[in-house]
Amino acid sequence: MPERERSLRGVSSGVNEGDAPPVPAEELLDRVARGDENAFELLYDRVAGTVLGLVRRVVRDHAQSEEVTQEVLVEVWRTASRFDPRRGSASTWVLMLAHRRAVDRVRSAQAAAQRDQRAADLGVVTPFDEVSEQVAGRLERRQVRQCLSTLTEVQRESVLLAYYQGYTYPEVASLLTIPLGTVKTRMRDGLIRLRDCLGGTR
Amino acid sequence: MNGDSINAELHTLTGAYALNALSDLESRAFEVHLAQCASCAREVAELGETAARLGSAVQAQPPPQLRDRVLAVAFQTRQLPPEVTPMAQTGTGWGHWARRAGALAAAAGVLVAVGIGAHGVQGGRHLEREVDALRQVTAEQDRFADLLAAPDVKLVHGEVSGGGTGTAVVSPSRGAALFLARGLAELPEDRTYQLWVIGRGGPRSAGLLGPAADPRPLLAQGVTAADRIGLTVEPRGGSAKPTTDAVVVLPLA
Repeated sequence: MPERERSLRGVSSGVNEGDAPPVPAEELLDRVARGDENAFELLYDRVAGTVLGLVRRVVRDHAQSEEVTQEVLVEVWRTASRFDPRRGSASTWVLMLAHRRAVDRVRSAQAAAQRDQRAADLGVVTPFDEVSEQVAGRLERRQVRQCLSTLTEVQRESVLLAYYQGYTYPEVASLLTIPLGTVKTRMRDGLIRLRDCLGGTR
Repeated sequence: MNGDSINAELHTLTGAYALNALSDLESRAFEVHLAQCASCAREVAELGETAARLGSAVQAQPPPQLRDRVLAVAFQTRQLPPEVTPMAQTGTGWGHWARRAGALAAAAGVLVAVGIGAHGVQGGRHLEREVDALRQVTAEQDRFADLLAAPDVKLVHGEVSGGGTGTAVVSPSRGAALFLARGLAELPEDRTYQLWVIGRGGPRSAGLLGPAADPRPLLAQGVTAADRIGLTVEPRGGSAKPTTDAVVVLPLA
């Protein structure tokens, strides 16, 4: 009986927690900007998994990915006052920081040399399948996956090679053996199609 | 020489920019363009948001030590104060792009050379000199910004033999090309890089690039789409006509 009571209490407290609407990340970031360490811990728990997931997707190496993730999150703490909610959501802001840092890391001259070699060794990969294996946020994954399938193959590959592999558009063009002008427009058209599709599913 | 020169319409770079798929130099040039182009800036913001959705679809389980490390380092890091300067007057709410408009000149070492801020408070004469220098830089930046805002602006770039890249930001309608170089090989004391506009009448000088480690951006005016620009190595002080083969030649068409 006591056993049962305990487990019921456990369940109900879990439910109560779920009932209370979580503090929006924007509000947490606002408190972080004012030096609120507790808010930063909450924000960390909210975004660290996504930041590490994205950074690892681009950087691959686990130790380096953790380094970059640490840099990104410390940067979030340091520059929280520069977040402007009129320009987009807090999670977008954090993910943009993360993506830029991850891309910077892989574009060091040395990394570029290794990457070229790797690309040459692997030939053209099908990034969509590879990505879908690693994609984990269930709902987000389903929507993104569904919307990615509305892109043409070249649009999808251009967008995914750039975003998840950190390739520049000339690198993507050479990997897909399509002209530079084409890859630019495919990236733009692909993102626009993705934007319109995701906008409709959110 | 100019084996893989590329030709890119700046206006269609919104997608590549949102994906961080531009080189550093192109990003900076594009950011200057964004300051002048409200519809491009809006599109970049939207596509950036879309790209971030790709990011939010990937998750990993962070190790607990990472949390401890991040918190420890963060709480020992001084936070940036909020920006209190008013938004730049673009009238579109995209002032943050305008504030970054200096990036191109800064990248090219122009602002660095002026050194405002780096020296803190200066004596009156020094300050005057620096303000003068800044005025010149600002006038130069206005010309750069005007070029970058042209509806037909495009980028051409190529590898420099001996090392580095040369990029030209070209607008046939403005009759102008801005040449930027980076990663150039160091030259002996008595040599310099010189830029040429190569037209039907033969090459004419567009100026000296300055030190290889810190080349300045050169604006060539009165150019046509039929012209090319080329870089040569010349004796210090420059030459009236090129005396060596070009290390890079960029077609402007």
